[in-house]
Amino acid sequence: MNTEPIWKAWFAKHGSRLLLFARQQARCADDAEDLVQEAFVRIWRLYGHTGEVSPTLVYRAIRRLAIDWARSLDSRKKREEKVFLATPFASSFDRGLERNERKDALLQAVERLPPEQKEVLTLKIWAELTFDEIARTLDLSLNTVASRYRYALSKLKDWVPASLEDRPVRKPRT
Amino acid sequence: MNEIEQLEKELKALRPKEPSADFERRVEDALGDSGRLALRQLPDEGDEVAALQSRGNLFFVPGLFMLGSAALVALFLSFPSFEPENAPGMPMDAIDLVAPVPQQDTPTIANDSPINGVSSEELSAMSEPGWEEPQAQEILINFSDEGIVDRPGMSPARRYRYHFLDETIWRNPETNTFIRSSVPRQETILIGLEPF
Repeated sequence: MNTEPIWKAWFAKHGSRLLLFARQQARCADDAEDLVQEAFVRIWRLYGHTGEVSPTLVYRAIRRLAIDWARSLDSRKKREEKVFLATPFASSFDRGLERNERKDALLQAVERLPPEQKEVLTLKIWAELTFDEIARTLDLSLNTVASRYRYALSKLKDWVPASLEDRPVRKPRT
Repeated sequence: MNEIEQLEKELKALRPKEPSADFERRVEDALGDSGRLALRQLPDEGDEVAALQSRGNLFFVPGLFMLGSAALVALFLSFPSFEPENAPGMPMDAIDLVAPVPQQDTPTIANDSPINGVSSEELSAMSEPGWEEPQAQEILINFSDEGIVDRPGMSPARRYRYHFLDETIWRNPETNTFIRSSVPRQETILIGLEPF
């Protein structure tokens, strides 16, 4: 009889989304992985035996850990004066061979969004959470979450020209 | 579709990068034993019983029970001069659905701990010509989290109660019949909590 730990199927479904969210909360890609690992392990140890863990719990844990870590890192940073480089948002996406101008423009536009709008957009679009779940994850009111999402989409609509069609990105000649 | 809906659709079409295999290994190491508490059974082609179990569809169980009952009636009708003490090729004790007899060869069940409380000696004594080795399986019906309980002299623990259905199927390919028995069972599991 073949068996597989349930967490593997769970992680295959939610892992990429958790990492995307964590990359916005962390200062670099390595920190994002550490955040996801720590949050996921904590939550799975508590509820994993049931085989049904709400992703909202893990997103919430990631955010809280990120806040805690940022506090401790800030104090360390002051001592070491270490400079962190933010990870570009577009690098968190699987762009593959089918790159096109509109997709690139969309990702660049998302990058330009204020962080509070970007995290709501991420949780709604890619994590597929409801507004209610996002509100609980971010400790915000439902109205705040909905309006941030609306503003984000409105900005993207203005920033990404409708004239940009799904045509392949031309590589510069060498 | 308006412009905003079109935009949402385009954004959803962008796929975040999958976690690397190396990262998944790190997570697996960090999870340790807690990662192996909940397992799912992978479908095994050609194994009917395993396929039933992998569906996990509880509504299927009553249907099976009705099918088993129908088979039981057909079994009785297939014996023109039915006399219990002389019935050929049939384990008469097994007809009693309230007192089922499991088999011991299922990999998940230890030989010395039959799921229905019947020893392997009793089971082997029941083998009759024409009947195949019985197939036994346990089906998880549901589970409940009963909260944190205190344990004298020990750290508190979280208690979970699991309800299973122990199912045994006997088949006789010669007469194209089968007998199915289901017995409910419950288990409680205590998981110690680490106070911090």
